[in-house]
Amino acid sequence: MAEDPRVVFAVRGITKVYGTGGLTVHALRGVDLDLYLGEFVVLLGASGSGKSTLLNILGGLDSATDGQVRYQEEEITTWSTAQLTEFRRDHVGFVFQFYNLIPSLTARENVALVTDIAVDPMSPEEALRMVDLQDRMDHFPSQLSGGEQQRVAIARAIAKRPGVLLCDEPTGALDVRTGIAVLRAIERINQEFGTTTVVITHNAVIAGMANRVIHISDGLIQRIDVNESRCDAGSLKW
Amino acid sequence: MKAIDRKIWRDLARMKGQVVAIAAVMSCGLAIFIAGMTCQTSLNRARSTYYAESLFADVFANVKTAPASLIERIREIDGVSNVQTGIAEAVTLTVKDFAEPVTGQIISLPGSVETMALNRVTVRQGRWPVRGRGREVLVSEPFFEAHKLALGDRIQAVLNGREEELTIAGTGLSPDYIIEMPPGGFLPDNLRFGVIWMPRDDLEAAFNMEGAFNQVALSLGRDANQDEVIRQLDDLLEPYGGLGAYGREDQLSDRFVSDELKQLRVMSFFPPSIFLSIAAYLLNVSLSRLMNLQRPQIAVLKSFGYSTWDIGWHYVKMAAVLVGLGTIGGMLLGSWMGRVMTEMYQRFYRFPVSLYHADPALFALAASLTALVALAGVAGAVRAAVSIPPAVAMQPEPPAVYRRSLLDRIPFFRGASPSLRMLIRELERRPRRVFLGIFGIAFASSGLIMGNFGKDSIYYIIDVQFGLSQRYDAAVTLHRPAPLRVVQDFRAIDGVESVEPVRTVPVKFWHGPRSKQTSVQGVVEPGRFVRLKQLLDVERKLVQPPEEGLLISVALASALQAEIGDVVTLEILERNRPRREEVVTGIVEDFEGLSAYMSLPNLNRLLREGPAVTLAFLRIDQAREKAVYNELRDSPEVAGVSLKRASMRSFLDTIGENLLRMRMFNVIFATTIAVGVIYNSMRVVLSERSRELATMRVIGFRHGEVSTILQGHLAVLVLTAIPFGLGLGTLFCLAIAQALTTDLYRVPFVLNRETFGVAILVVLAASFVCAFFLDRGIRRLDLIAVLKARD
Ligand SMILES: Nc1ncnc2c1ncn2[C@@H]1O[C@H](COP(=O)(O)OP(=O)(O)OP(=O)(O)O)[C@@H](O)[C@H]1O
Ligand SMILES: [Mg+2]
Repeated sequence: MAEDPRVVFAVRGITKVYGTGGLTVHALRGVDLDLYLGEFVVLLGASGSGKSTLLNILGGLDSATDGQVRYQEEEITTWSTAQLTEFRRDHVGFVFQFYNLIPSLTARENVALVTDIAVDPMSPEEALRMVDLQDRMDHFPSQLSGGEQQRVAIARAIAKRPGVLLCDEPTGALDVRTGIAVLRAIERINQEFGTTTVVITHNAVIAGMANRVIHISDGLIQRIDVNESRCDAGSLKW
Repeated sequence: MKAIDRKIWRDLARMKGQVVAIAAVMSCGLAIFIAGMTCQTSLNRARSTYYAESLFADVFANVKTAPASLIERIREIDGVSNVQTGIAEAVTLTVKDFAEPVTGQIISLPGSVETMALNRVTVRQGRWPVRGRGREVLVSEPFFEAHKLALGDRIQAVLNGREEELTIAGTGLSPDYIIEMPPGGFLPDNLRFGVIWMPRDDLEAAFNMEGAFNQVALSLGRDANQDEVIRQLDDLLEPYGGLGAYGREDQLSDRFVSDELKQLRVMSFFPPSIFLSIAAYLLNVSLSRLMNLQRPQIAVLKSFGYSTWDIGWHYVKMAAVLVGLGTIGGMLLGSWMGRVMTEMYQRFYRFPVSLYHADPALFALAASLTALVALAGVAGAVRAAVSIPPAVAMQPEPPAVYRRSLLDRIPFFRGASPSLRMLIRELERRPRRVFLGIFGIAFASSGLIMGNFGKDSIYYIIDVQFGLSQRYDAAVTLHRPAPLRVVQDFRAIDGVESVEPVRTVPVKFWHGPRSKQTSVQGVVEPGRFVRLKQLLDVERKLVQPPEEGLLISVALASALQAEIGDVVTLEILERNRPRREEVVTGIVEDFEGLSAYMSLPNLNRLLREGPAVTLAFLRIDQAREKAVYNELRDSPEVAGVSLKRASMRSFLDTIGENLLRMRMFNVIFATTIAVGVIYNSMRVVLSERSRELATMRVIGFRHGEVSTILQGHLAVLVLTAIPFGLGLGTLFCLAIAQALTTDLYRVPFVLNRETFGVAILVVLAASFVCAFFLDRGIRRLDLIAVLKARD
């Protein structure tokens, strides 16, 4: 296995089979992949191709049926659910399509939810400033627009200074302008902190932002494109 | 099955825990209702059938001795349709293999049942006794059974001072002894008290009562004025020592049945209404939650062309399945409980007709009752969901609106962790639901208090009555007033340590419009004799009858609505019926019912007689108890002896089992409510918050940390509810004590510390069970599914 120190995730021969007996679904059929420190990766693929499944396995939310995932020096595929919880707690930042904020907590408190349990977090205020929400810190989710909610979710994900930021269709529920604001926040985190970032999207335009674009089809990596030059989020159009 | 109907079963299966909890609470309420009503209708029905068949009288009177010819004049009283005279005397009995004192009431019997104009005795086994033939008698069925006697067995009786042997020709029941209460007792004791019927000629001869009677019963015509008949009867009997006539409502046995019916009415309405309201509330909360979850489904169905009516009907059907489950459970449980309880009653209340009667109309009533409750629970939820226009329903429920509250200004709260804030804001957001949840759990706790109230109350009675008040070992009743020297005679018996004489006289009390007939006890001055019966006030402090004035029991005080300082009129129902006004100087904690006490000299003055004794309390050397009893029994003056230890034992035996059973029912029901309310409320909270809890798990919160948020919610509900519930339970017990107290016995309002302890423990245990299931629910949250879908 490659001992390249710049490899954050090393994925080898991952398969994922859902269900048993006659009703099995092969969501992943043997994926090999290395993710490098600080890179921005976009996962593209048709619906049902296995993108979310792969992301969930990387983030320690789901376990693979077979194969190995190494995070830095650790083999996370062998971990118990309790160990995976600790892994998510200390190393992973998640951003979801539907924001998943806690409605009973303000923006600041939603971020504090994470900073309270993290080892070396930034302050909630700092994290919200990173996503340009310093003015809306004391608003509840019901008082924020979708894009603002998503930016709170990003602040919540990065406040712990995660080793990796995993975003599953972060702009899926947003219009263009708001989507761009959200992507700009993600891009900024990636560039300023050098956080390895994986973004799932259906929108090929977003691929322009990435260092590498991974195309998944039917549970397999079909091809990997390397972008020589990345364009910034502000210049995206769709 | 149509697809939409299949959805009903899938949905119900998914929430099976909640379904079971709601149905169980509903079943409990229904079961109590059915059981209580079954007992009530059974008892009521058996009583009226029996009264009609046996020609039960309307008016009763006792007299010292009246000539048989008086019957003609009684018949002439306007409104009287039938008259029956007879003789009744107290006797002491000896039953083989039973060493303890037994007393009985021996009653005259005409030649055949057809000649009984009223209160006909039904022969249950054997045959009608024949006069003159070896002292044949009928004995009451419960007495016969309690002693395991056989036809042809002999029992010894002291008749008018002479020992006689009676032969059992048969067993009987009569409508004036549906329940056989020993004199002065407050529960039936079929081993130590029995009714015996003897041919009239034999009885007349034994008591030198030829051509005379000492009791009379009348039935009244349709338009008769009972009060007027009683007045005229009293006038007729007065010269012969009439003891005051009274109507059915004051007849002891009938009175007990009526009191029992009254108590059953309380029981079959009060607890079930609580249970059913809680069930309706749970149904409402669960269904509302389901509707919210299914907003998109409702919209989709509407867009396909299902009408609002179809959809409403769909949810109503779903609720109907649930309610049907609860109804069936309640009916099964209720008819079983009704049978068990009726059997319990059958041991006390004897009818020659079968007691248990399951009324189909009752079940129909119960079913419509739950239907009503269900409607109340379902209507709001269904209306709210159904009225959503399809377009709105298509969008997910908007994010719950929370706002900053007063709490945010409190410095403590500012430092609180986000999860604590989540908990507090959630509680603040749904105050109505939180309040109702607390109320439900409080009700459950109060049920547990009520469950043990009976025990506390009974032990208090035992403590006060047998422990503090009755310092004697035996109570000896005399046939007729005896001179004070009998005290010396009793004390001379080897083994008797001390004797307290008492004079009892039948009296009628008047206070304002109220009157009560009972007896008054003349109590000796404490200096002259050792006091073996202590009179205690409600604070359990010793009180003495004053030189002038009267002490009355709590029950008599409430029956007359008399208080300390009030003046009551008493009419002595003996001799020339003197009347006197007396001041009530104290109220006595006495569970024997309507009793009154005055000083013996005062009573003697009133009666214009010298000191006389009708009752004596004896303290006896335990080792010589048997010998003392035998000697007393042979004394011609003695009508009966009752040993305190024996009556205490029988009291506990009789009541113990019933008490245990009722407690068990109560505790099971209260626990069901507790679990039902806690589980359901928390299940709904879990469902509503599953998304955020799963999100927290995803972003790295440990299982325990997430679980704490819900456990905290649970703890807040339960810990607030417990003190509230204990208070509520105390109030309910107070109400029950008041509702159950009758002239015949008083239910003291007493609650022990253990009762509260047990209630708290059971509620906490129920909470732990729910917490466990909740924890499992959180463990089973599908983290990935939460990320995929909108709420
Ligand atoms: N819990 C599950 N049980 C069974 N099959 C599943 C489950 N989760 C996912 N699958 C299947 O696995 C395959 C991959 O699913 P996945 O969610 O990874 O797709 P995706 O690429 O993220 O699609 P989309 O772009 O629509 O989100 C799909 O065929 C899906 O049906
Ligand atoms: Mg996906």
